[in-house]
Amino acid sequence: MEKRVFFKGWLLPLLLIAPQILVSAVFFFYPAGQAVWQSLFIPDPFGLSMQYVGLGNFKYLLSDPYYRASFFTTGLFSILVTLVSMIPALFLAIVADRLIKGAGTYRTMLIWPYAVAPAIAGVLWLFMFNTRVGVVSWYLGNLGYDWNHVLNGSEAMGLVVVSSAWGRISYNFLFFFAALQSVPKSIIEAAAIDGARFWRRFWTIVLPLLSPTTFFLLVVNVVYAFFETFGVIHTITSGGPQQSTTILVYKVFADGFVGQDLGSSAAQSVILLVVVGALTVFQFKYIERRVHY
Amino acid sequence: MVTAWQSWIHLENFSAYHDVPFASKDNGFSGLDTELQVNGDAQIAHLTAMGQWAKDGKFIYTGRRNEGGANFRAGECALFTESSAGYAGIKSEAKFAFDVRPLPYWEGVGNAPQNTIIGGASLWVMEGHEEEEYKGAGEFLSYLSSSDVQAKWHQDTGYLPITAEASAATKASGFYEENVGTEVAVIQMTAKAPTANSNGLRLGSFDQIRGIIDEELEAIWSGDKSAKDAMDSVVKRGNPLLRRFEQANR
Repeated sequence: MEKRVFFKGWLLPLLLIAPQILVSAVFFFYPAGQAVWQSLFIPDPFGLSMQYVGLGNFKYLLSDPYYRASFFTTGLFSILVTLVSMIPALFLAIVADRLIKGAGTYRTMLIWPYAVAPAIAGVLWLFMFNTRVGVVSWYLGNLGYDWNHVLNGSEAMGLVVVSSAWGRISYNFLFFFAALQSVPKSIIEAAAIDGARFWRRFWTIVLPLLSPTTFFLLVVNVVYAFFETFGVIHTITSGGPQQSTTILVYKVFADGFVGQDLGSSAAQSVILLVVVGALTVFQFKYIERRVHY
Repeated sequence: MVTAWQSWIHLENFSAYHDVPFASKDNGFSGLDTELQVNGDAQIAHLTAMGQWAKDGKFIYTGRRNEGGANFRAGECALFTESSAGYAGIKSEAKFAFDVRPLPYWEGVGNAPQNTIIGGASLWVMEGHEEEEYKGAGEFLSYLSSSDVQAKWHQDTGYLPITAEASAATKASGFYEENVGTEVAVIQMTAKAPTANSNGLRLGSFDQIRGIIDEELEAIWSGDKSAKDAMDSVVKRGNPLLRRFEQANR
């Protein structure tokens, strides 16, 4: 029973969607096309000439053990960021939902971290954990733990995960909180009368009803972890001790802009595009089946 | 001990100062078909020693750039190997008396002490512009390299003057007597005529190679790899980059 709008003729619909098509063409299709084109060449350092190598760049990448390791690092990083940003957000949304007094204030304050740009969030957390002047690393030092994310790969990974997830918690919180409002109170009350306790009500009623939101946030957070976390990695670890925090998108930057190897960088972008596209298709095909609308 | 710019000081300058090759073909100057040679005995011995100091807590690794400056200026570390450009920061922040000395070297290794090599940034004029623009660029470069400007630049920042004239002018003005230690870097770099190993480096994709070197050095400091394995890995990972560069510039 969907509502559909029918247009007579084709000119008006074309005009209406033209701006969106234009934006997509200029900001997506054209750069993507250029990336695919550039991935077939090796440019010289000054960008004055290019040498055709066909799939040579791709062969070079896929045989590089560090590039393959980067896939694993990216996967681990995305999963951690998604978990660390979604679970606290859901918890906070539930808690905020039960508030009566001061709900507005808590909601507003919980949303603020989202306004902080990723690079700035990165610098903030870097200062707190800086091995020399950081507040947190000083307290950890007093407790006897020597924090050194410059040498320790797991600590570096932990730091960038927390940094990336911190601002994201607010975003997820907003969506979860709104979704919680749409859960019908009558069903909750009926379950409560039947004797179901809070967690049982949560698992069997609230969570399934939240599934469209959870699914949406899952897709969006994975894309965020793949692409928008570049600012955090760049400001905190620059790829981390021994490439332990070099995610795929950071490698694209490092090879392309720092190493000036535009051919390899373009090839990496193409691979990244295919990977994230496939991941999103997978999510829609298989996970969406379990979502109740 | 703490350091800044670990690759530049402890590998590149180390190789030049001890007159051992960093890469074949005169460090890349005589051909693009150069290969890295950082896994030579001298470099491996030095990095093994430093790795041991890192394990003993005598050498503290603080980062790939010049983060170590903060530790030194705060009085945490007694020795700091750094670029001459770090002098100004130390002078203004350090609350203790300090001294400037030439880079330490291993007695009897190679031809030490030879000379150190330059670091820092540079300005390039590219082809393909209008005549008028080149005139402007030429005048700007003449201005920059004029004796007064160079002398002031050198004195204010700690970077070395690029002309002998500016260096002589600074010496004549008594700057080096008033600011003890500022002449050390100049003497260290110019006292001896450079050999094929201490002329500098001309290597393609060097930014990426430095990234690789930084990563492998981090492996040594954290104890994950021996110095030999790390430097062999640098050669193994860096040579394909040099070949790619060579291919793109045939």
